[in-house]
Amino acid sequence: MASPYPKVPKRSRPKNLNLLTIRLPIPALVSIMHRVSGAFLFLLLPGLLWLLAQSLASAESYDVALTVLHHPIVKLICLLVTWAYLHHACAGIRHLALDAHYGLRLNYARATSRAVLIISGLLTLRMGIWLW
Amino acid sequence: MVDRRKPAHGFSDWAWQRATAIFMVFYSLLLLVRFFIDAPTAGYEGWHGWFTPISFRVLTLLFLWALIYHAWLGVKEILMDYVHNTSIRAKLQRLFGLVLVGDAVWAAYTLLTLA
Repeated sequence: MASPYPKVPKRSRPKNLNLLTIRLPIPALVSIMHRVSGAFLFLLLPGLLWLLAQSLASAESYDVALTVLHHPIVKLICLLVTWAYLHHACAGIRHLALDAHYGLRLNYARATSRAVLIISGLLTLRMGIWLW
Repeated sequence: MVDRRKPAHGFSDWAWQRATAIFMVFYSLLLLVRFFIDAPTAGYEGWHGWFTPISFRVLTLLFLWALIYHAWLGVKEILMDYVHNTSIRAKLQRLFGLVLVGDAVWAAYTLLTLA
């Protein structure tokens, strides 16, 4: 069957897929960070479950979990987990609003993206102060 | 390649991803509220006591299962986007699926066998 669409002459279009030179619009930045934070949380889930199990199993294993948690690198990872969870949650709530067709206009989309970054950043900072 | 013999469940995936997300937001807020009005006392006794009410343990387990199912849907989506070789993708899906099932069983064991 003949194509119903008008013929478009083939041209070679310029492609730019170099991630280092692409300047991401802020909603795109929030979007990729949503994915990265989700993947990060998935990878760390067994470690977090281990901490929960250790902290509840017995008084001795509780002490082990506490010692692990007091290690500076583990503290830093905890802060990263906090940030990932908060960013993922804030960006997710923004997604739900977009599903309901709230905030689809470009200026709103940009403003809410910025809000996601600022709110999750500030809450992470608060957690950092509490941790140290 | 889409297997036409299998039912597509794009809509139910979409809906479950959101349902689990909303549940997790509510649980997180509840946890925060409980932490402020009824913080666990320091030490193992206090922490263990915090997890003694069966309602809290069941709610926490439901949260972890929601999180794990949410993660499964996300993992599938990420693999779909970046791993285009079907057989490698199927293997990775199986691997990550097994890890998540293990996580789910472990979470249940931890929270339900608490002395």
